[in-house]
Amino acid sequence: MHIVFWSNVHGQCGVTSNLAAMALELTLNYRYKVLMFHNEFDKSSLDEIFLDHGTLENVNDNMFDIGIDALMRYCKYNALNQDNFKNYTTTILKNKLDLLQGTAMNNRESFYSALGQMEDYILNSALEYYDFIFSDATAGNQYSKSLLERADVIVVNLNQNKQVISNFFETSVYKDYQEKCFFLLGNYNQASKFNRKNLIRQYDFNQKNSFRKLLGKNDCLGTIPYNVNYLDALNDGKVTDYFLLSPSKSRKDSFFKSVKNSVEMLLKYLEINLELVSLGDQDV
Amino acid sequence: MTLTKLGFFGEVKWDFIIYLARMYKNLGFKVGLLDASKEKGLEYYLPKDLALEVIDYNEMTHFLSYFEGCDVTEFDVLLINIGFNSEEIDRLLSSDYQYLITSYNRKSIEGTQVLLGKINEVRKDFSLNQIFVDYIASKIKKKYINFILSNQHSLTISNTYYLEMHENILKGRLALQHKAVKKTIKLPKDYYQLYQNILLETTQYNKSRIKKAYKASRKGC
Repeated sequence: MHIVFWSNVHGQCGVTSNLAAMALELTLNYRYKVLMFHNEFDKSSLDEIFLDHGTLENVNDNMFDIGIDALMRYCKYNALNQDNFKNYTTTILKNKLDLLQGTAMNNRESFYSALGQMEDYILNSALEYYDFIFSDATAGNQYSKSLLERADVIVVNLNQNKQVISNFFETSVYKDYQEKCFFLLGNYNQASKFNRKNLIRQYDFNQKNSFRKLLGKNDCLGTIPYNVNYLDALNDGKVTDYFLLSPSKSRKDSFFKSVKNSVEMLLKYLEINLELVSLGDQDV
Repeated sequence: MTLTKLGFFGEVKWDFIIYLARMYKNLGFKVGLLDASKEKGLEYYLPKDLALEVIDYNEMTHFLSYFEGCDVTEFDVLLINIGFNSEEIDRLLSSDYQYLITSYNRKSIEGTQVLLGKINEVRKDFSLNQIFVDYIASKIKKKYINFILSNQHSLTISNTYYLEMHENILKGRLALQHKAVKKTIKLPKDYYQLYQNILLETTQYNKSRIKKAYKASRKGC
């Protein structure tokens, strides 16, 4: 299943941080293997939030030997296999969550031209080894269009800014792909008057039942609250540690609860029976 | 948890209900507020420009008018205000607890008289709590007001409360209306005592837990 995280505005809705939170929560609690992928040319925020700066600097020396560059090399020879993914992705959680790092190429046009030719092959091959691919599609990037086109689900990342939400409903993405849109409110603050329930009542987040809409209920609108500790972890490249090491008490706070709810909502949206795929105590 | 409904009627100011609702919320209940009055005052205690009929604010759901389903959702407590709306008497009577709120203003007393008469036509065996707001000792005696109110009906009054006029209450009401503030004002003793009695009667919580809920609502939780 290919899930693309996208937003109609750049840098406001926390697309990458939302993707990271959803991917970690999903892999830590369910029997799924996930590959994270992005199509950014330089300064990839997905790489930066999972790898601390020291690691990234070391990696940059040998960038062509890992990540998307390495896989594209194998694509040329039509030789992509499971081992390539194992060898050239960065393991975040062993056998659960991998990151396909971005390019070290110097020429933007060459990169996107090569990616355009090989993206299909890479993603289709990846889907043989992973249950989910979470793609970070950069807002405003014309190369994101092909990702959105081939996505099974588009996770539309919005925030509580009414202008951002209104603009989204006027985009071609909503018009063309409404049926496969799942929504996430990033940097969410429950105390705002534009809280989740009031926004559901005001906008058409794929809620067809007008009674449920009036009651502020919707099964395809999740939230990822603003959380200072999570933000610090993102900046330090310690986001995995933040999820793994948070004590049980803090896992009961609104941030973790909301991430958990959003993941459950997404799985239900995909018509997956949660009981069948969740990890029991013995699996943890 | 089953749904508990509290019905308010008469000259009801929404700040009175909102303070109580916040204490319920801080006791862990899911709270709904329903404006079934003709005066429609609840919207003026909520943030402007939302243009919705149902508004979630401060973790409580506010129904600006009644629609089918207001009381079948996941609420633990539903606070209903019918004001002087005699068409909503059934809704009032179907509540678990009823509170008549009135001041000594003649308009309010006469409106209440009419409403009590109509309630009495529908139900004879009915007891309610009577709350006089903005009470001030004057030449208009308690005995006189009680006489003219009870003259029209044979209902049982289970409790009567007198809440004095307090500057703080008025200030709080204005702040609630114009700024939709989330912090509850420091309640005068008579108000707090009344809220405590209502909460003791309608929930299983004790005084110290209620005090904690009040303190949390003072902080804006």
